[in-house]
Amino acid sequence: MLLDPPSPIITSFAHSVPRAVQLLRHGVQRIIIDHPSVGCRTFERGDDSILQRYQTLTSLDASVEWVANIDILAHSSNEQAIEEAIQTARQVGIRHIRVQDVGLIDWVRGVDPDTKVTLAIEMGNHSQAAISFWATQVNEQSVSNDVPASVLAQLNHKESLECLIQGPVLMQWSKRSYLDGFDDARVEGVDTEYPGRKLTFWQSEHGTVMLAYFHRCLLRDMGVLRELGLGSWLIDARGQSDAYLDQALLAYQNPDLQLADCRQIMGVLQAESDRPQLPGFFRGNSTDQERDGVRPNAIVGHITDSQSGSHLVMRARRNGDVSEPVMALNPTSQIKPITLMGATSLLGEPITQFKVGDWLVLPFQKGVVVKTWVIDFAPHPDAP
Amino acid sequence: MGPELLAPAGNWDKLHVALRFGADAVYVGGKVFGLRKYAENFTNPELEAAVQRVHEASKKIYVVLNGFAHDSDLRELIPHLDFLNTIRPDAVIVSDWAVAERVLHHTDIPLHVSTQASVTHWRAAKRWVDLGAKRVILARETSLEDCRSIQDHLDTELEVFIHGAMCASYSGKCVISNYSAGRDSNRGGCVQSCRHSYRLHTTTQSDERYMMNARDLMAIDWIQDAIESGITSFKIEGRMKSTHYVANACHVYRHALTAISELPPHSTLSYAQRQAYADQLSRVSNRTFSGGGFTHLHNSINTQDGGTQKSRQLLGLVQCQNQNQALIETRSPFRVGQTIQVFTPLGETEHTVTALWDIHHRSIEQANPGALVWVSGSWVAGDVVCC
Repeated sequence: MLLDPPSPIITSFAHSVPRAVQLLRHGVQRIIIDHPSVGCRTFERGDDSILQRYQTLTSLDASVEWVANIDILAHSSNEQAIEEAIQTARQVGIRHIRVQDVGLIDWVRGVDPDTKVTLAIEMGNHSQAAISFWATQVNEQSVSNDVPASVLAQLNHKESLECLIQGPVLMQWSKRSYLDGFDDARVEGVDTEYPGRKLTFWQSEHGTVMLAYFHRCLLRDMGVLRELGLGSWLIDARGQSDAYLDQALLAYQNPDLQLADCRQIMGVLQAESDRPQLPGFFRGNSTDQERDGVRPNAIVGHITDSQSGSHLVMRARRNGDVSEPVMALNPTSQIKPITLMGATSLLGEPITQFKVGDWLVLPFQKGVVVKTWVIDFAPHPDAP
Repeated sequence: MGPELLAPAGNWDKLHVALRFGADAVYVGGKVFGLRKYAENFTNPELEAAVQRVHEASKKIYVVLNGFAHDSDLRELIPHLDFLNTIRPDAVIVSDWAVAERVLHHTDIPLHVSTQASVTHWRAAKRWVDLGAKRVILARETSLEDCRSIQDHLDTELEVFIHGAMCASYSGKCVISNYSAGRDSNRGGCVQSCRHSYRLHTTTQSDERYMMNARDLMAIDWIQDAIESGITSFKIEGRMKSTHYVANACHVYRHALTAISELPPHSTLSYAQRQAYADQLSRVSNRTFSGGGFTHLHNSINTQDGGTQKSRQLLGLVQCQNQNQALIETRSPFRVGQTIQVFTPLGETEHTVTALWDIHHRSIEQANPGALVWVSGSWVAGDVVCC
């Protein structure tokens, strides 16, 4: 008999008492405390200190797991703030810290070896091997949003993995200030080459973050999500309304949620956020398709000169013999057989064999233009 | 021995030019898992020949493997590492811990940590060094103060970028292309959406600007401080840039590093000298300059202009020489009677084109882009022709 996968911990962010109370009311078991001094995308600032914020929020309920978010990258200029946050967390009894900078892992453990560390590295834990490596270094990981469900399903250590299931997607974090001249820290924008896609920019003392034109929403993928058996589901409602968070928490915590209900719920989430609700790369990721489709081992050379009716010149990209059967793949992806027979050097001497970097002057052959690849029929025997 | 000048070699010609114009080392990408998918990159036979060529010149070559790997990438990585282990480059450059583990396990090639890993602090650098890294290439946001702090805490090789284009984002923390264009920024597919113009608004304000168009880095004014901060290697960005760019940047920084090494104690390069270097660097296509992270990123965005500027245009590269004629692979058109500049390691000289011939020595009036033409002149392979 197959057992149901264990229920994931619902995790979310709080920057204030009202937001924390809202999460507690919904039974959220893990709350990440965000503070602008050490959080790279803490939308709501407040004027309380790290100590005040950590103390005030953790005093609301001792039974939930409180996590301190310290996800800025360390520089000598912010060492003091990071040290203060780590020490304060220990002081108020927070035993779980979320970091992005790998240097903070030992920093946290140096203060309290028993503190749990979640690595929210953004990039660098895409593969089974990387996730396995990090599983030996930290307690939990927030898996990259680039990783689709088909890959997540094959991963080990699922119980220690967190996945963003609802909320804005971080597209970029810069140390630079993009919004100088604006009175507000939060600005809406569109890339003029992709009009219609509303982006969010937010500037703080840590730089500027850029959020995608949609929110990641896995409501329609709940069946797959449940089957994955991940340890934690992250609902990130930073910068979003209370109604948005209410709706998300009710939906994702409803074991009886039907697909038919999703449209209405997603409509509310879209209206509250003014952003489409999409699965991102959860269902698939084909962002690494080869542009030219040429096997690297197949490349014999490329054409650098083509004078109609007169000659071609090929620059060799490997060693070879002019008797080898080769094809030309031109920039419009047309393939045709050509010959290297009759090749001469630039000085007119006949060539039978060539090596990397050599120039081969060839008889003109129709359809072969500059930037045409010359490729093997089959992988070269010397190719690894 | 002074710090290393490390230059980009996006293809065979650029490698030759970099060595000729004064680089101590070059970095190259293979066809497997480099981060510049749109650069030509080196086939395996070219990599093997490149390692041999560089070592014959008693210089160093580093192979880039700095994408963030997915499972499919790792499958093809092991055979590639076995190949690299046979040709013996001087280091491989990685960002991803899974890739690093495989490099350390399958090869004995030294490991350099890529700027894509966003190392900005000694604690992150130490984690990589503890894993086995020999050198850490710091994030371009790292200030001189950060560099000094890292060097104070760790006895390891540090490398910084001194010239070239910069990501607006922390490198390795950007997925704009993934979501806007369906290309993985961190596996070589960056389409540079950060160079676009953006329309911005709040309830009370609006503007349109090139808000993320990072100016290029030029570190001439900070290089002496960086040397004193203990930096081992100074890197020029730009495997996709032109041969002219590589030649020019190598030429200027080689002269600057030599000049600094010959300074009397406690003295600095004069303002006039630094300005002369800056002027020469500005001739080649650029997005205007800033000091990048060395200056805490003040004024590092060119919000007004998404394009590039230059005062020299690349016409071609000399490929070989025969009986007082030079064979030029052309990039831009030029014709008989035109004045051209030929840039060699000794400097730039002016010439008038008196005659042109095609590859079969038939007289022609104009050289078109993407051709090989003979020109009267005793220049040698690797000299750069511009106007």
